[in-house]
Amino acid sequence: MNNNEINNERWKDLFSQLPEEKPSELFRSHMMEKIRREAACAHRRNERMAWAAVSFASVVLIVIAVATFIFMKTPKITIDFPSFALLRFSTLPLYLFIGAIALFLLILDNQIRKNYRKRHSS
Amino acid sequence: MKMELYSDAYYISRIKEGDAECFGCLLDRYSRRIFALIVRIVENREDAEEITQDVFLKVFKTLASFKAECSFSTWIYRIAWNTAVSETRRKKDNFLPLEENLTSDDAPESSLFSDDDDAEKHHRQLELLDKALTQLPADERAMILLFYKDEKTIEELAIITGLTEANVKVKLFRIRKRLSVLIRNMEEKDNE
Repeated sequence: MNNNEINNERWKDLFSQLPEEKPSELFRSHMMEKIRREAACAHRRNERMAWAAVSFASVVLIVIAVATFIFMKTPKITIDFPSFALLRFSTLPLYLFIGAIALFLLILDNQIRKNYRKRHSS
Repeated sequence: MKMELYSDAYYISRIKEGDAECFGCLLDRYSRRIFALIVRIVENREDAEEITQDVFLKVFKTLASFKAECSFSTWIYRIAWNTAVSETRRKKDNFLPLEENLTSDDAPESSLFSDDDDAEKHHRQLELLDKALTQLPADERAMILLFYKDEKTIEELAIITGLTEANVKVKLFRIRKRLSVLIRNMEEKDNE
């Protein structure tokens, strides 16, 4: 070992013995509280961004669709809105059944999402 | 609850997936070392605690941008360095500048260290080092502490401080000289 290395070791030894301050007992809990708040903020921010992106994309699609209909006159289709008067009474339960399934699935999806968020935020 | 079972990379990936609680494990691993460094840089416990919180909040917010080009430890130290040193600059750190002639070679470092096992002298040396550190500018104090106390390599120091490796070596040499002169001056005052 040369002189420089010996001095280096001595400095290192001296520094290693310097007293070290510790953060307060409450430091961790305060910090984690801030982190949780920041995580919740980031989650809300991401949700807002996602909604904004979906809304923007929807508006763009609608504008393109309307522009296509108006300026290019394509596709030339006519829409026949079904008249409820024309619905036969026998088909009504079928429509109600499909509607009920859609509603049930929507509620189920919402519930599962809620449970997932609860589990992952605790 | 304190858990320190997995690597930094594991916790980072969990946090990136949305599990913010895993940040607690990184806190347990690094908060003490980072706080000890910052308290030495800013020389005030309350400020140091606040700055340490800022550092970890920055780490959490920018974790997505961490690309593992260097180790997580080096990255977190870089954030701590930037935050603490800029804070002390903002508060206009007033240190007593050493005259150039005091940093010349007339203070050989080897004579600072005694070979005998005199506990009292050793204790006195520690006290003087502690005092001498307070007379260095914040960035120099931080650099020497990172090198000797936190045992960072020259390469890591270059990443943390944003200097070249050659510059880091030169700076460390100068800081060591400054410390030697400061300690010697204090010893001389004691003997008078």
